[in-house]
Amino acid sequence: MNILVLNCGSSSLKYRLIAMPEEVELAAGEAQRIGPKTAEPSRIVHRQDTRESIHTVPMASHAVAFEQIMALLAKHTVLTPDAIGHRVVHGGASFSQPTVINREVIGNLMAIQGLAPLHNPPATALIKDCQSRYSKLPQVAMFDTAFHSTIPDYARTYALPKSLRDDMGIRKYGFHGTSHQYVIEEAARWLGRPLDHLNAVSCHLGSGGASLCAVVNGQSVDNTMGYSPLQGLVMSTRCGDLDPAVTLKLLINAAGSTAAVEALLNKSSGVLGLSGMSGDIRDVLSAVPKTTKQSRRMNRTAQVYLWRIRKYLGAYLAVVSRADAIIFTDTIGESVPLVRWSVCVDMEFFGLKIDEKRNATAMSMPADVAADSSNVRILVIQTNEELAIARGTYRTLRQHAPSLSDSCGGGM
Amino acid sequence: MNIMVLNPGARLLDFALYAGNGRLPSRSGRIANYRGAEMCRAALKNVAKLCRSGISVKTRSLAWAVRIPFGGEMFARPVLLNKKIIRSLETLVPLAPLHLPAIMELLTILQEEYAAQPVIMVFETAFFAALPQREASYALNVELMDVGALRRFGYHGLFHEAACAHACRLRKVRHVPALPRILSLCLDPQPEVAAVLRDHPVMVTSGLTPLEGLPGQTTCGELDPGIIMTLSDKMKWGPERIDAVLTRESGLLGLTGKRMTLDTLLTSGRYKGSLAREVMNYRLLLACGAGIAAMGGLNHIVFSGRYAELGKTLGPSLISRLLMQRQARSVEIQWNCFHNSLERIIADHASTVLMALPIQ
Repeated sequence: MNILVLNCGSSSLKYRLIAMPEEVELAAGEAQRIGPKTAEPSRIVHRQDTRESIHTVPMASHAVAFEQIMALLAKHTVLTPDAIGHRVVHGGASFSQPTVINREVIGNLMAIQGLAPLHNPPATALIKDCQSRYSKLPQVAMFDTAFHSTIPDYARTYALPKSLRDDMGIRKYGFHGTSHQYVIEEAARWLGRPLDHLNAVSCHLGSGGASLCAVVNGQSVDNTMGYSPLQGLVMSTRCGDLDPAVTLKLLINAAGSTAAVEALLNKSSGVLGLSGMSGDIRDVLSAVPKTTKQSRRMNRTAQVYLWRIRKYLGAYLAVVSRADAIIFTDTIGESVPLVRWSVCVDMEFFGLKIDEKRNATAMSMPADVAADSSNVRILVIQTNEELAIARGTYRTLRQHAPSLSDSCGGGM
Repeated sequence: MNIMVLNPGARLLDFALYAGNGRLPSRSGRIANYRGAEMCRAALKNVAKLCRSGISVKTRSLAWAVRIPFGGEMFARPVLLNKKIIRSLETLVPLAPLHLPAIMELLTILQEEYAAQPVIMVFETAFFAALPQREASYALNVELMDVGALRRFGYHGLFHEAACAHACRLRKVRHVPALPRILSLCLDPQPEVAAVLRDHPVMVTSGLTPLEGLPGQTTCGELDPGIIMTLSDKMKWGPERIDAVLTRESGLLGLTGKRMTLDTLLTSGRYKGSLAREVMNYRLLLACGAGIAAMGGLNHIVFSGRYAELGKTLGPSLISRLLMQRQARSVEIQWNCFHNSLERIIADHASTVLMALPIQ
């Protein structure tokens, strides 16, 4: 069964066609600069059989981009999708499982668009478009928030009046669930432990967003992101944790304009806000400052970024009690040994001992960079959200329509 | 020397007279509505009168100690009041516009009316003035904003400082290594956890204000910034309304729907298994874990604040939970409760300043 995984960004559409259950990638790529004209033309970077090709094509909307992607795939009969798996950032309180798309589901998706105004609307529009153009192609939505539906009440409840919590759905939802779930499953496999006996802290440190997830018996029990992706760690351009009084102060300063404050906290804060130079922590860590002031600013940025991860790591290690593993994943977690070292060093209280040499030289993944004497393994695992979505889509279709998932290719 | 401690709040002026080293004051009380020059002058007159009846004839000398909730980075220790200090404090008013104007007025009147008596200013933020930048900073570009200094100042610095010093004295008596890693839990209506390396704080749960961090009796504690945007957008609430909900209708009140104290929540059988108690215990555990990571280990837990006694139940349960870490079982963690009141702590600070003064 060929599953086309679609990961809809605000101005991009990543795709990957995966043969299931073999888990073989058949084609992949990304439609870039979707929407209004930009300095560079819209294009699709398409990858197939280790060859990469670039197709410059106007794409005013995600629907057009999807149409172009389907046209590229249609050039090869073996690349015909049998089902589509969509990544949807926010599932609200309604969606705690991968869900087969139908009219009712689309209605529910429309109702929760406001929870993730940047991400959910284009994904929902794309789902609607796919549904109308390819009505016979089964579609499944996978939600970033779904893995965190197991977070207990005491961890997801904000200390606000009940009316606000109940009427407005104000609670912790957590994000990056697809990635956390994937690396947790991979870690269980790597350690030879049943998933439902695995306690861990998963550190999804992306070049954009980042979050930590506390895992007990294979289930998420907490996530550093909260009601929105703003809370928690210092991210590329998002502020992370903030005193509510600071947010109010900013709101007063912006004459009550939430759009202005939202833009400030989402797009000009985090590593970019602290450094004033780049939103990528790798640039900050490798910067060669020209002045003492610059040097101090870079140093402070790195310290604040690393410190926040370390504090949350300690908090979650206290929560999971007897951790089997710490898992580092995504761009920064996988490729920056200094980050792993800084947050894991001097954590013997928690049974954690990182091996300096193994950490510095870990090239291929998965890798274990803990010292032999460490009670907790420190794993570096490459995340693969698209594969996780393909797996979720396959499993869901097997449950709901076994005959569909048993078919192989050309089922459109 | 007798020390009259003044703790000026938003509307109330608490006072306590310490005539010696005892834990309890010889006179104490509260004056409602001391704001405004005339009211303040009258309030101080009343306090001074009450004070005279509480001092023995032999020891007539009196000093005033005033709790100042905010001293920014400028005041890292208690200081003796003089005109230059008042001018310096004045520059901080924009950073604490709700508290400092009334305090400036009180200090000015003290100077005018009681010029012969020393006045010591004791700052709540002094203990955290040297908090490392990595802990104190928010991930914001302050150059883009016209909002002044935005950093973590902590809230219960005086309790933490005194409790940790007490813990160190206890450990010294017991011949325990010199640089203890201390988790300091101030159990007050607005509770706060700090991680302290002997006398140097490296982490604190409160932020620029006590709204951040642990939930209080009516304050919300940690909150996703996106929630404030939602309240503004969907409820059409202005910043004042949101502030009122977050500071006066949230916390334990928001979770239970009832006004209650921290000790009632954590000890009353009625709230066993309640969501509010679970939330509070969970947040305390998270804060302790973060503190241990910040210090790279743990030797001691100390409880202070109005409900320090809660430490007797919290101490053993927290330690048993933290020792579930495989490596940590070999670590010996001690704990104690520190019962001195805030006023006693302020009086102690004032005594230290007075003792350092040249004898006249």
